[in-house]
Amino acid sequence: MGNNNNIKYNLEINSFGKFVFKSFDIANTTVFFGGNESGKSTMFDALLTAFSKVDKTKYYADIKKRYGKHVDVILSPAIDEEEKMPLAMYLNIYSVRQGDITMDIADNNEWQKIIRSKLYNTDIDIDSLINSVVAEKDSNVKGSINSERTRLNDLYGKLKESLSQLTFEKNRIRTHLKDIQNKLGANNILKKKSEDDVIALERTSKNLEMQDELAARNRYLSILSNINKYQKLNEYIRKNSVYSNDYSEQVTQMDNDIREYERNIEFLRDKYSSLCKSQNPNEPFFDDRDRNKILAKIDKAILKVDKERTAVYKKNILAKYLPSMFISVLSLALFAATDEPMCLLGFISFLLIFVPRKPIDYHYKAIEDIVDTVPELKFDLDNLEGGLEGIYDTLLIARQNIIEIEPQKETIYNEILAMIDTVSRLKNDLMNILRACGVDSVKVYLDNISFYNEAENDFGELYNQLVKDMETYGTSNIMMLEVEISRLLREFDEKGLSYNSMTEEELFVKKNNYKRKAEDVNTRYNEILDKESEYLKEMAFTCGELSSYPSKIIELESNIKNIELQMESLDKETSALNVLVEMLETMRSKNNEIFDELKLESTDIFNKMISSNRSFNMKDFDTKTMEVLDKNDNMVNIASASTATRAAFLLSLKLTLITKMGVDNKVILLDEPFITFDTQRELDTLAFLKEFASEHNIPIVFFTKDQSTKDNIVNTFDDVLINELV
Amino acid sequence: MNIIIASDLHLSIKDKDYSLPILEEIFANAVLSDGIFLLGDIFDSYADAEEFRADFRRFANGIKTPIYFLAGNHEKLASIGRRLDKLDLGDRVVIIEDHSYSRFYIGGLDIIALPYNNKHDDFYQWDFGNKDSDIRIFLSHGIIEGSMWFVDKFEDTTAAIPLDLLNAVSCDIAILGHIHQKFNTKISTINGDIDVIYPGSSKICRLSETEIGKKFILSLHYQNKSLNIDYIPLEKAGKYLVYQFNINGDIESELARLSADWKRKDVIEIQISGVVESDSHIDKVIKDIESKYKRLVSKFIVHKKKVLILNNIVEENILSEFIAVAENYKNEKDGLIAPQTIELAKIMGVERIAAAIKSRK
Repeated sequence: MGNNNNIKYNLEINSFGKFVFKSFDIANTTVFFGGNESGKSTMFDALLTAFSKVDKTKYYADIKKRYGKHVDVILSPAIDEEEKMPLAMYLNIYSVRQGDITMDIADNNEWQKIIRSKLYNTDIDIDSLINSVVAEKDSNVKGSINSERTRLNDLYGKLKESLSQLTFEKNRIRTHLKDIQNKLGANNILKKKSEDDVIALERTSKNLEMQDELAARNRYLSILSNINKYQKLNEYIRKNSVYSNDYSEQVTQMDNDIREYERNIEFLRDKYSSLCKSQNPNEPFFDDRDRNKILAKIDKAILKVDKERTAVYKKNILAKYLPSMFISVLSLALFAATDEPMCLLGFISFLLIFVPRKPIDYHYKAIEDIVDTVPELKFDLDNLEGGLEGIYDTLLIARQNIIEIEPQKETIYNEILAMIDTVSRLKNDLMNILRACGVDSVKVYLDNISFYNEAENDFGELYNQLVKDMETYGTSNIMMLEVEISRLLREFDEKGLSYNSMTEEELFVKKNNYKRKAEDVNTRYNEILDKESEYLKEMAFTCGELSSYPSKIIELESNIKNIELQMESLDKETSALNVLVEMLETMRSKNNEIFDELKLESTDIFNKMISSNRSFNMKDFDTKTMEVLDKNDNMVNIASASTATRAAFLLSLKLTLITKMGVDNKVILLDEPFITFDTQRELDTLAFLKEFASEHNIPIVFFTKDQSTKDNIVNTFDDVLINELV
Repeated sequence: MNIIIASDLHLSIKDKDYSLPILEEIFANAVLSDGIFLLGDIFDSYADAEEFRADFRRFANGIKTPIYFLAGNHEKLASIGRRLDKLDLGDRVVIIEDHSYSRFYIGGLDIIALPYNNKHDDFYQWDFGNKDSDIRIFLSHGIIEGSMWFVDKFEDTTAAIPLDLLNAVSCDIAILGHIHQKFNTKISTINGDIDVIYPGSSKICRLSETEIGKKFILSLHYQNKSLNIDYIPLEKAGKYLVYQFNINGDIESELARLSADWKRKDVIEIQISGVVESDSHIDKVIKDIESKYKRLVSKFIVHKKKVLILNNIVEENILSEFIAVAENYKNEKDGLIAPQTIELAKIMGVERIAAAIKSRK
């Protein structure tokens, strides 16, 4: 250690690695020179520890690990701990250790914050802010607006899907409901029809019940009627007890006999009439004496008639031919007298004989005489037909009757009289019987007896029937039966039922039909009611199910709307964040200007150090943006640049930062800084460092094992303090 | 032909002096009309209906217009099975509260009215009959499925009206109570799109977003087969207005301008946002505003919303630099970007910088 008038600091090392109780001075320019393992690096770290803030970084931990837990280094003059820089920052800006000119550039390094704070008047990283805002806006990190929008979009989609699903389900159920409604409608039609059937059935049932009741009523009426009949028959039989002895056969026989006799009488009368040609069958017949006397008179009258007939005949011949003969003779005479042929026309008078003319009748007196001869024949002179010829014929017939027919007539007459007598007797007997019965004709008697007999039969049958009815209705006699039945009828009639009725057979058939139909109808109706109940139940359930959907849907719609509102809010927030980014970018651009200035200064140092005119780029402390123009005039990232160029770049950057961060209570520690430099660059750099140290009044401590470097330092700087380590 | 429709008055003993005059105003508007339909929640509860029955009857009997009263969910509240028609609300008041629809023909309009029900599950068996007019109107109380309405915490999704019910009614217009915000929408039914109108509440019931604005009743004019629907503002209901001010803006002159339109019944809410150095500053601003404007309206509420108090970080350079940048940005983008967006960005920026500062410390 030599003398130096520019001693700035003294470092007392009580314990630090290999150094124990050592003291070193630090001048404006100091060189720690020594070979390998002479303690240069330990000295470097001791100085670093002395000038930087003791903190909890890994650098300090490494130092403690390397040099012991109880390192004890005392710097004079002492520096206030608050004014010291963090070790890492000191290492990156004010130092080059073991020839490795690097900078630990990473996001949010504490030392970078301090630099920024110094550079930009704040230590808040605008880029970080922008990045965080952009991330908040656009990143997919949870909590970002983008992720929130994505989340909301997803949720929106899901809710929409749920809504669609819910609506679909609702519509499906609605369709099902419609289906049930249709089924119910169809069932209702069947029900209506079935109800009509049931009503008709009830009507039939009522009708049948009524018919039953009416049948009972009819039975009562029938019994009453029977009683009535019974009583009437009883009365009739009592009153007509005369008919209890039946003479019907006898009477019939007598009546038949009478009729037979009467028919015979009639026959004989006809026969008698035909014999006597008399209208009056009762006219007295001529007895034998009369017959002979009359016969003599008739014979005399016949003679008179013959005589008269001859006289009249002659008169008629003359009356017929005499006139025409006269005219003819007269005509002939005239013709002969006059020769007038016309006179011959008188012969035409012959034709007169053909002219009909009333014959000349018999003389009335003669006829009267003849008739008077036989007064028994009772000729009617006023109406005498056939004249004399008629009388003649009558006389002949009368003569024949008296001789042949009268005897027969007499016999018949006597038979008739005998029969009349018999009939009269029979009739008398018959009438006696009839009168006893109070009738006057056989027919009435027979009818009465027949009726009586019938009544007796009916009476018997009725009685038997009534006995049964008495048993049925628990009465001891017919009178009580009548009372009971009358009572039942009164009860019945009080119901006011109509009197239409049907026969029991009809009722039976109808009842059977009703029963069969009732079973069918009721079964069908019950089936329909079961169906209806089933449909109604299902419909109620479905309606209930459906009724829960509107509120669910409204709730979903509300959620969807809420998300829309949230998304609108997010949009507003996004817009605001976009604006914020623009605002922050405005601030960043101002900081960029500051950094650009730093870059320019750094470029200037770089070019001075390497005596060139190269440019380099960088944006903030982003190694990716750190580019330098290489020898071939290509901009290359420092990571790709030559080691020497990169070292020069970083050294110039460190020196520029030193100008920004200040030099008070600081020394520059350069441990083998030129190891990658050639001699010329080393010399150039040393020249620049001398100028820099002088300009900024900051001590520089070199650490080297290289003699030439030491010499170059000594040759470049004034009053270099050499601390040789062994 | 004219019909008045009102809903959701929530007449309550709690705010009798406020809500009773509104009921009177509703009836006064209906003096010359052919009918007035009240779409439910006219009373806040059955107990309130009992309390106000005499007042209601007095107003109702004071006009000659028939009044059709559909029960809402609030009329059922604590009713324990008791019925509105037992309250004798007036001579010409028709109560519609049973779970079935009523049909009216008024001035040629075919009206189907259905009271509130928490479960519409039997309308599938109802026959609403053929439309006997060019226009059929469906009136009820509830939210129709498909309205896409955000149901807030005050509302009730049980007042759901199935879309199928609307399909079955086959109406042209549906007008409903329950939602307190004036809100119109279109809903697709099997019979085509129909207009769905929620006239909103007849008074300011609560200080929620759905109550913001004026309160209206509907006036339906039907003439020559043409239906016009007008909104008649209810003066006595006042209006609920919400303003957002930046603490750093000129609140005083803005309020001076806006307050010219305020009425005694109005409810005014002021939301103050922005970045301030300290609580005391904003508190002073709020106190000043309240002392000046509170007396003008029925309710005047000022509160902080998105206010960032810088307190001990106000000295940070970056913060002042950012605020300067934000203000500059606001001036540069005036008219291009909504001031609210810029203000929000500014607050967010301050928040983030403050967080970074806090994190650093």
